[in-house]
Amino acid sequence: MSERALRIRFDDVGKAYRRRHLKSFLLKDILRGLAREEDETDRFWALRHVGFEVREGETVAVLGQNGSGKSTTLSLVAGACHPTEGRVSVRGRIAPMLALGVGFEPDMTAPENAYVNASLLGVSREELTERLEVILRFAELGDFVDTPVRHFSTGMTARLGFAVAMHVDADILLVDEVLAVGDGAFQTKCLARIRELHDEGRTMLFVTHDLAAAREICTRGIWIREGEIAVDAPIEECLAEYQAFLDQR
Amino acid sequence: MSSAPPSAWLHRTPRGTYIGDQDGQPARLGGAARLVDQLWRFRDTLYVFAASKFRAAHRAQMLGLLWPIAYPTVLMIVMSVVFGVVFKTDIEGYPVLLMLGLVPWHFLSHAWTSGMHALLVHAEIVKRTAVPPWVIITGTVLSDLYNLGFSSLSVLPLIAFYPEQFHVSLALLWLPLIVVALVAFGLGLGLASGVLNVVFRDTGYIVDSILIALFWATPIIYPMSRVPGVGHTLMHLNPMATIVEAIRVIVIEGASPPDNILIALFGGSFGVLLFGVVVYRLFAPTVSDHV
Repeated sequence: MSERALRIRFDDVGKAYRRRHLKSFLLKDILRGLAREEDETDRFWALRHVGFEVREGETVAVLGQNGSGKSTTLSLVAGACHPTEGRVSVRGRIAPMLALGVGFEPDMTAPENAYVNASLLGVSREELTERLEVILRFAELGDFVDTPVRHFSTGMTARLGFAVAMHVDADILLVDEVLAVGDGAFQTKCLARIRELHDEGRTMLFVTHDLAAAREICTRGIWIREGEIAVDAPIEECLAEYQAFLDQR
Repeated sequence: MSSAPPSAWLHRTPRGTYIGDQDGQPARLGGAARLVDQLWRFRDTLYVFAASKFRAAHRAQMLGLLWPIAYPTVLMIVMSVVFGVVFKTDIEGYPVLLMLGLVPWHFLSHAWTSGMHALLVHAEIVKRTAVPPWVIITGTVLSDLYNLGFSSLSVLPLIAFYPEQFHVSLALLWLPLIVVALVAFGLGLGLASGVLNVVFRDTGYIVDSILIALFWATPIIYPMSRVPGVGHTLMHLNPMATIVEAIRVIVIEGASPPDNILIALFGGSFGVLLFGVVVYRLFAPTVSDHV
């Protein structure tokens, strides 16, 4: 069997953020700061020298501690930001689930917000109209379908956001720690939907701290440590090394 | 839509985004073609976003859509009393003159300020989706177009009071084109100040000051013909002045605006739009790092 086609490629990627050292807001200090050349001490490298490839149908867990660069990696794939070094390449339609319910307006109803949210994720109006019923059923909103989102509980808002994101017809799914929404039953349903998408051959990138979920869904793990890839291996191997690291501390 | 056609690769580098093959060889796509490509790809998002902004803005209000009509009317009445009764202006049909200046002005000032704040208000979209910042700024400015449509209706009641100040003629066909120029002007200012406001948070105050100066430098409470000498010539450099003047000529005189006004109007408005696009392109790649 020939190898599957590439979907994502990171080519020696680095992402730096500026660290502001501004201690004084006096005009002369600000002007002096502007005149000074930016040097390395002003920069914080969230990611550096990161290279990996993801092929079609792979589900990859991105592991690591807080602040290690996991979310930055996903933002780069999503196209929400540009790399400072190197090249990020993607092929295909992306569903970036970096946050749930982006663009929700509190005074609008669930269907109205579904259209806005979906269109920000790249779904056209016609596509959403086809899927709206499925989405609303998935979100389990009951009588609240025509109620402004303002009156939703936190769980309901998150469920609606999740339902939309789960029904974007994308080649690449990016999931950043958004699985932790809803109660047990809803989580089970989400995992089932994710497995369904995996079986359809979608490519997925998961950021999660739930190692059990990672083991269950993913085929491969990438452990990012202080902005660099520590381990990139089949999921069991990667989890074992990461677990050993966590136990040591 | 948030990415290239299924077969093409989308490459992001420190210098920007381009479409190419797997090895990173860029596809041949010039500046103009890329602009068209972007507009086409995000047309649906732009429409849905603009429509939802407009709907959300009026949803929670009791008077809702009456506000865009009521607001300029209230301003017109107040100013008519101040300048008509207190200062005793000799201009015939002064409320009509005033209203034809206030309506486009209100659109511009609102579109500019809301466009300027759009990226900060919708920071989450900038940070968490692949939607480029221009879609958010443009959608915000365009959502004000709905308001302009409604606030234009506030001119109609004046026909009953000052029928001699209105001339229905073929020149009215110029109005849609003038509105296009007005939107281009507002969009150019919104794009430039929108990205600048993210990087330099002082932009808001600077724009507020400019707006006050621009209000008085635009013939809103006075006719352009009252401005003498060099001032009158210089005023042509202000696209808002020529826009208001053109609207008054069309509605009150029922004539096409003179050539010099039209040239200054379209040249100025689209010049500002071009300026906005240039500033936008300079700052856009770093916007998501700053919001």
